[in-house]
Amino acid sequence: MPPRAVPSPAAPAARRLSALGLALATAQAASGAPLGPATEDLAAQPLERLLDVEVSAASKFPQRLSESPAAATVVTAAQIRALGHRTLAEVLRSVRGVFVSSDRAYAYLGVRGSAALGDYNTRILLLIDGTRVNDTVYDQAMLGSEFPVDLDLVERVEFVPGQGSAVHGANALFGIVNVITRHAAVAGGSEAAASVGSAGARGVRLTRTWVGVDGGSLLLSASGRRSDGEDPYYPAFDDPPRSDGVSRGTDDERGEQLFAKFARGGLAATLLHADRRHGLSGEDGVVFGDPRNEYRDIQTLASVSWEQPVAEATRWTLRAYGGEYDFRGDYVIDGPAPALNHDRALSRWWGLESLLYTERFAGHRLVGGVDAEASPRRDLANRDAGADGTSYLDDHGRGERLSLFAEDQWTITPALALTAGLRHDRIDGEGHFSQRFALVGRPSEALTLKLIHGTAFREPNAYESRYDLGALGGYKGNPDLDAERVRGTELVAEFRPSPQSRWTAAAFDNRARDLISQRVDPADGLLVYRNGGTQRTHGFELEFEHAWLGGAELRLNLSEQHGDEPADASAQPAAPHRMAKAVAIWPLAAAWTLGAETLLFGPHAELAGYGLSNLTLSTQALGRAALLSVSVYDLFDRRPDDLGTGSLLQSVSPQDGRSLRLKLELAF
Amino acid sequence: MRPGPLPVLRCLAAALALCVGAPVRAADEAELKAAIVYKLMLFVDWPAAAQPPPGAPWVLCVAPSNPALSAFRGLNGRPLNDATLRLQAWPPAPGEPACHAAFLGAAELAAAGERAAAPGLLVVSDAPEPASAAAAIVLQRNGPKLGFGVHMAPVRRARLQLSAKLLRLAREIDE
Repeated sequence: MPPRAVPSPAAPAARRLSALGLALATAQAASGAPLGPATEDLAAQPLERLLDVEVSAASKFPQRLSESPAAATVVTAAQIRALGHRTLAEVLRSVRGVFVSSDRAYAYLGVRGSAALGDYNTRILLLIDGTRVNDTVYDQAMLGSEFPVDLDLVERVEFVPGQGSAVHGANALFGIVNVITRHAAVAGGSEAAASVGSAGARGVRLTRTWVGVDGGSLLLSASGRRSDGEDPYYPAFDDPPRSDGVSRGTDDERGEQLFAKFARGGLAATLLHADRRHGLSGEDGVVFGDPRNEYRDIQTLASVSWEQPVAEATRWTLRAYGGEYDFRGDYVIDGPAPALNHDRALSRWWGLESLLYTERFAGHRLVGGVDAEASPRRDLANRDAGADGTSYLDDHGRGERLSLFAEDQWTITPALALTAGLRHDRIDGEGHFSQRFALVGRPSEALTLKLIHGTAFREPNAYESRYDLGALGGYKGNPDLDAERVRGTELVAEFRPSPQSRWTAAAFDNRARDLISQRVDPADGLLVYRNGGTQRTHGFELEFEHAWLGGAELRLNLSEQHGDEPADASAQPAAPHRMAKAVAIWPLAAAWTLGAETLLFGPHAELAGYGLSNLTLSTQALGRAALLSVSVYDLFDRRPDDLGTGSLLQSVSPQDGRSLRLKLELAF
Repeated sequence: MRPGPLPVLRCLAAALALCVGAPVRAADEAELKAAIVYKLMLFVDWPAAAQPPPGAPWVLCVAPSNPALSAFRGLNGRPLNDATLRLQAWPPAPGEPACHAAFLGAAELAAAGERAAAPGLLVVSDAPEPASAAAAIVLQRNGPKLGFGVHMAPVRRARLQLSAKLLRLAREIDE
């Protein structure tokens, strides 16, 4: 995924740098309580089994939002469908304090002002059903169409802003995205989905579920999609007669996804595979408009978990997981004699986590565990095409991690609870302590106050340290990088005047140091990652949510954040200072539902602010087993520009204008 | 580069061999109540006159003040007997469709009076005995788990038919 390289002559890089300015990642606030592993869809369980389920609520285990020691947001499958979201990035875009941008190949998340050029979502931890998904070469959280699971199979998405390393270890610097996939027993039977849309987009999905008499269930799903893509216009490449700046036939995408989930009693297993190719329409350093330029992302992830009671009010979970990420980039290098170049990264990892949770001690919910991970392959390679093509990089790395963690949620009085968590990670010989404290008070039934403090870190990754193209130029490694750290404090007030409404106000202050950012070394003009100085960001968020009994929902939020002027004058945040978002879902007469969102983003870097409105109309008028929806994205055809966040070099990335999608889902 | 597999992995692998026993998962109490009420509705037959007209949903009513309300919202749109389920406020306002089922707490049940005895209305309550006597089905906490009991008098008064499976799963049936 990432960077993929795209070697680029130093001079243009420097030119663009001055025009653009580097963005330093800014620190975020908040603290992250993982809402824990998947909750099953209870309503899909047989009645007999429901009568055998224990009542509980917990910290590393599912618990109510108001009690959780974090200001979390949950988006459900019903909301995702009603709003016509196509990617995980679109789901996250309407979340309070979150900014999403795209360089057309990958989507990038900025949380509470953190967003940096050259950062592949390394400061966001992505979990699928509680299992870490960030790879071990780029540390990337895959959020756009590169996310490996069909969104139709997602039961809900939990977003927890703040420092989550005390529970989840590295990369949870600014937030955690936990994607809970659908429980195998939910559907029962078969499903088929098909969609067509603008720019030649089309996709199909086939899903089948089996539920055994012994309570076991299996879900298998396969999805495929194609898109011809837009013909985006890049002003930076508008250089007649060489090019008119329009990149034609280069933005195409194809992807296949396979997903399997098995559950029986306390045993759950998931296996998934995804293969996506996306053309590069406007990368710097490659021949503009050449359709051979593309990224390919191949991901395979597996996890098996076992949960069982081991003593009174005590449960034990054992989880084994593994993953492989294979990145392949093809670049037609610009120069006097354009040549096809292959860039590759291979990341493999596996691990074992053991977790003990107990409510044995009155007033305490304790969870402790150990997580050991080995990454035997962290390889980076780059060479010219052909059997005798020159090799510029052939680097093999590996790594290990051992983590110990414990957290206690202590209910001091019915109106006051203290959560304290501590985690130690030993990564390739380097030790890191992370901590989190949360004081949750309920002065009245309707009001909850939370004071949260946490720390988080991440080690420099293989790409940042060792991506060095030698003779080809463009990039050089930096083996001397230090880990980056963030310390954040957050004050949250949640007011529920009625069970259907909620007001949330949050103020945060994040202090980051040694943030790793990409810059150009003036000595040789090569791109390199370096540790920056300290960076402080602070801000506030306000949200109002109301849910009517008949199914209508409204969510309004505002956020504002500011950072200290970075010490490096060329650094500036790649995220807007202000955002306002409105999301509404309205059931209309006779099985029709309207979903609408309007998202306003203030100016950032040198880009103008913009508003984006999306509308989805869905209906079950064809029958209960059929859901037909039509969506219009960017209703007012604003065609905003994003910073091309993936690399410092790609300064501006044009986004799609108004587009349509028609989708039909059938169950039988 | 670094020494090989971490010793702890072997310890855990050995511990895996000890894994035996019947797994039980835990859930939020309100979520569990909502799911059980939904499942119970699948095993009830309503009199023909009380069934929703074609294309109309089944209506489950919960008071806006009920602490379990948010869990019930997740049932909106769920399939039920060839139609879908819709959540509506209890008590129904004039002009709103009648409730097919209502989930009522102790205070709501006491305040409902005769309204809870309407024909074609399945009343499920989590009120303790004897306040729950007017409810056809009562959810009861039994240690860490939830069970239910059936009061046949309100069932007959509402002209409902309960399936044999539901009756078999009931912890007690009060004639």
